[in-house]
Amino acid sequence: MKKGIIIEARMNSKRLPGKHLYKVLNRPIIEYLFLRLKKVKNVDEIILATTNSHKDDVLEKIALKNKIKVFRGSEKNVMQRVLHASRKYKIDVIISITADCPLIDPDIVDSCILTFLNNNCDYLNNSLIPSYPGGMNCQVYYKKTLEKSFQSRLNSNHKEHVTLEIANNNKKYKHLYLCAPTDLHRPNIRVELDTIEDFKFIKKIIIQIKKNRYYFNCSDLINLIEKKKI
Amino acid sequence: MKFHCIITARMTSSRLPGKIMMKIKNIPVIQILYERLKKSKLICKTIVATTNNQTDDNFVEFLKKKKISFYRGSEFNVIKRVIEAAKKFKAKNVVLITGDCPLIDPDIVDQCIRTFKFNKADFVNNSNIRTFSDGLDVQVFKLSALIKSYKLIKIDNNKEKEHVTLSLRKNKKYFKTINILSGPRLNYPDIFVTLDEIEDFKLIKKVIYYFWNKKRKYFSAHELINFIRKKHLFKINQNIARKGNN
Repeated sequence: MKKGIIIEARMNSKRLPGKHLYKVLNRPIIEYLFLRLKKVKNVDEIILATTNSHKDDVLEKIALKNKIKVFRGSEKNVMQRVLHASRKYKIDVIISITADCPLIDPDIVDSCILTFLNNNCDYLNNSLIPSYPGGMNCQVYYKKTLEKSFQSRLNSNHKEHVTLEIANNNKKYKHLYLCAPTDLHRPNIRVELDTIEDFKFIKKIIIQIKKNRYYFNCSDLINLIEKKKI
Repeated sequence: MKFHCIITARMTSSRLPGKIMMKIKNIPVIQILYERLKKSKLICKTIVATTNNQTDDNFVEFLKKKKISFYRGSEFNVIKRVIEAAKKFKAKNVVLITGDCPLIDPDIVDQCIRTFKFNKADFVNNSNIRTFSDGLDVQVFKLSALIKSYKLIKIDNNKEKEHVTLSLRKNKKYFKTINILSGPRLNYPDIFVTLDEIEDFKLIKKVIYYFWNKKRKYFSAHELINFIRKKHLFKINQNIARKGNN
């Protein structure tokens, strides 16, 4: 079974347009995400799923530079975009990550993938139950599960949020919610990138972490936030 | 939702008799385990389930002295012993730890409990499919599920009576089961931190000395694994033939 990370990203974000290109230490923030996801071990392909819009040419360029595959599709129907990306690259198991999570810990992604593959479930989610810090969000499901969801009666909201129909129907699909060990159980910490304040916070974290700036784990991040109180 | 922890332990272990009372820095292994479990944020009470045998009388005296709750039951029908212990302390949900896991990580224990709680599972474990090192094993189940699995055991099947969750695992179609696997950070199935033989004891002793000498009474699984790898301590017990079945 081919396992692929599919990253959703576009320049035309409502709250903070162009946020993925905001720079930290001379590097666009989305590159941090790419570098971190490359550390995930149990995966065969990493694909950026962005839109057909010219505005997103730049995202494609950065992805290719980092040897990340690219798929371009519908802007509004994100579900279709992800599904078509998985078809094109023949992905059987989709690991959905949004580019709003540039500090995601690859070790957590691996534990989600391995746990998903070794349980009888259709859909794994580690953020529906608040446990890991916000920004470690990972969802794993079969392509065939997404195909099934795509055949359901969908509204525009479903199409915009890839897994909404799956996540809302725990009778139709077998769910598994993975919670964090206590050292990583910080539901009140949030490192997602939605607003300019979020960006400033994330930038501060990356600059302050003395270790390897491109890769530090969730535990390093929590330590920094709690001890230095940034 | 409350969670009671039950530790199964007895003095008459076949491979290393008396191991639970072997001392490191003058503290018996069972007490080291008990104190590590105290760091769990989600366990309400910990109970040691031991045997009715005279051979465990002194062990029980020790537990009394330390004000550790205990239950005494059948030596070989361990599943029955655990069910009775749980009933006595009015437990509905049980976290099962075996006495041979003194280096258990309470943070991982809590991950299993949390995942159990929010998935409305019958049985959550992190050892069915091995990624975490042997010795970090956690099993969480509803008492009602364990009782149901007990009723499924054939009268002459002693193996299923001895290994508490074997029937739960075998009859998985009746029980909503979740297997938790670790990421690469803790994915060291070839490192053994369980206490089966004297070589294991030597390794555990080295680990405890190292951290306690640094005034680190509590250390995590990640620190533990890093230390063992850095100092090549896995060489101490890597040639031991392991029995399966938890």
